[in-house]
Amino acid sequence: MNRNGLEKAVVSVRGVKKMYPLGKTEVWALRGIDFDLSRGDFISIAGPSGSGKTTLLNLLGCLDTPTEGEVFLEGVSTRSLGDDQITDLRHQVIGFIFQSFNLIPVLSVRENVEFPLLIGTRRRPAPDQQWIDHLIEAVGLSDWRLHKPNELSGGQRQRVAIARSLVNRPRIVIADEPTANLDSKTGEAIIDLMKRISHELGTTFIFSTHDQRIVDVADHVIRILDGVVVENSLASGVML
Amino acid sequence: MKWPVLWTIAYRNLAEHRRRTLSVGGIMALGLALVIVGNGFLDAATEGLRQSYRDKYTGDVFLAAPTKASITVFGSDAGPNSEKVAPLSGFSKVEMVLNASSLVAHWSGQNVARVLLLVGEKASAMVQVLGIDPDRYQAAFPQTLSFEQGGYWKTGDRGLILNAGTLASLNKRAGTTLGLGDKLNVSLAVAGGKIVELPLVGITANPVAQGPLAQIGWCDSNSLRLLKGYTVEASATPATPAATPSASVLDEEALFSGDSTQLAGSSGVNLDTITSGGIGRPVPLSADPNAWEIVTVGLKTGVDSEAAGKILSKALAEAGAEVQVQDWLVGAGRSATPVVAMKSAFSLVILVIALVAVFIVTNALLISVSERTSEIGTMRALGGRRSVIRNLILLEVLFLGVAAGAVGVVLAWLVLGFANGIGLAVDSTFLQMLFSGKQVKPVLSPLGSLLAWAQMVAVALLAGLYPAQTALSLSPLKAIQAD
Repeated sequence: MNRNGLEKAVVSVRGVKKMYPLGKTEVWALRGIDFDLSRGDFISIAGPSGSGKTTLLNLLGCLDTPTEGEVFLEGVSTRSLGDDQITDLRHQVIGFIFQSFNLIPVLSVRENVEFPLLIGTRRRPAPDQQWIDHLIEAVGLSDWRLHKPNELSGGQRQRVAIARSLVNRPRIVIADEPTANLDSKTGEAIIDLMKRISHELGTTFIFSTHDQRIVDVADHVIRILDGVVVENSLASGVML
Repeated sequence: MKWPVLWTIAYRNLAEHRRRTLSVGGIMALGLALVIVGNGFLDAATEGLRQSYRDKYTGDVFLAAPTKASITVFGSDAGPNSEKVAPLSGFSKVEMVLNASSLVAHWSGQNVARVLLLVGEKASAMVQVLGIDPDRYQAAFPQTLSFEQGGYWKTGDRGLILNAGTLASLNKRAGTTLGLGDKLNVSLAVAGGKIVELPLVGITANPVAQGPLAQIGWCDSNSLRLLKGYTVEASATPATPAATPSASVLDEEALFSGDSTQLAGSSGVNLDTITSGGIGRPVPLSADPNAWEIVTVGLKTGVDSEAAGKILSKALAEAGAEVQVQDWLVGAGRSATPVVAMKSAFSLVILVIALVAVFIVTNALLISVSERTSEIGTMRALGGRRSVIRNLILLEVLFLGVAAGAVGVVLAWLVLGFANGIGLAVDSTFLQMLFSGKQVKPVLSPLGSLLAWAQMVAVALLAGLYPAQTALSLSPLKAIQAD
């Protein structure tokens, strides 16, 4: 293991395999993945449907555990952590943007954005209202702050999800096909927004997509095919 | 974790699914209202019956000789032919303790027996008779006897009191027209007993009761003592009126021998005493004035009968009196069975309501959890611990329980208030005995209502545990993918 790489990387993946039992058959979604991700990068996990992108993101987001290998977040192995520790790690380190937005339907835009600040176990001062308003403004929803999710368009909902993913000031934001349910124009706008925020806040964004136009804006591309990494390159063209 | 956001989500989820909330909450409210209204009537019945018995028959507590048999103030509860009631031993000690106790307002001794009322040679009626001291009995139970004719006998005299119904039944069966002042022969129901001749001194209105209490009569204590053999040698008897038996006592054989002079009790034999001691050496016997089988005790106002019972029991034991102290419900025996049966039946109803509530709440929440799988998964993914999800679900139950409970309490109080205001009339003598009057006024108990409300919320929370556990068992990943 490259100890030096672990210390520098915000995310390190070492020999990760993931198997799903399907009846008596074992389906290997990931067949041995290794890579490091740098802090503040805008990273695309690319690949066709069924290549293992979502499985990989679930492992990076501590929503699932690898069958073999280890995932390190900021140098800490997630393998040995219990449910509460994993939950707290997700709360403190990771922001999520889901393909289906996954907003709380009974909460308004503002309440949805504020929600992650209110459910953690860490003792905090009162939520920073200015920060919440800033995020809502940054995603262009100031006029919609009191509306419920069912009153918003798909693009607006995803903007709420982006603001929500950032409210905890996470080091990593994981987005699983954030533009999949959006039209191409809205999708591009969402990606531009994510990239701008990533650069402004120094947050590491890891998103999966099979849309080449979106892959092209990433700083770092990891391409997967049939559960193995087939490309690991920076935007500069440097292969890792 | 900040609770307000969970309160907000819980409240809005309930509001969002208004139809389900209203149907589940409505059932809970109705269930609670039913329990509170039922309790109101049951409390009224319990209190009514307690008053009926305590004020008229049993006192707050009663004393009897220790026995494994079930003893009531009306005698043995084991059956009409069971005469297992024994006189208290060391009554003078009992008397001393009761007279000295600051808890006791009054007490009254009595003996009990099932007797045959004989008209001529025929046994015409069987009656449970209480042998009493009229002065003490009137002081202890002033409301018990409501006379249509006559009254109590004078202390030291002999006498019998029957209710009008019993007398009418007796006359009908014997073909007689016996009335006030006429004499009846009385013997124990068990075969081979003595016979006393007692004048009918009082006829009471029919009792507000059916069953065992409808057949109760009263007679002077000494007559019953003589019938039951509670005697002492006449020479040992203090020369007090109470200690001097005045009943006419005959052997049954003499009664049926055809010698009419003995039956009248007016001539031929000295009827003030009976004899014993074998052939040729008759020893005159008289009623033992200290032979009491039951002592009913009325406590001073505000004295807790359970605590007082324990204190008296201890004091009596320390004084060397071997007696057991029991409460009015035991004293009432099978006559109070209705209230016990009603309580049991109502407890069963409450249990059924609770089970139905648990079933409904559990199912409604399971549906709610399954509908919100994705939402629950999102909360977990965003960093909500299991406790967040559990608290959220239980908060919804709490909201529902508190709100439905409030509606249920208001509904119940409207019903109880109305019933209490108008006072429901009851015609049945059983119900009149049960509710201690001709009107039913259910009890409005704020504490009882709050308790029932709290219990309903607790039951609802209990019902929420399984759905909460179901939600907690969802993996965040699978829950998110539920959409």
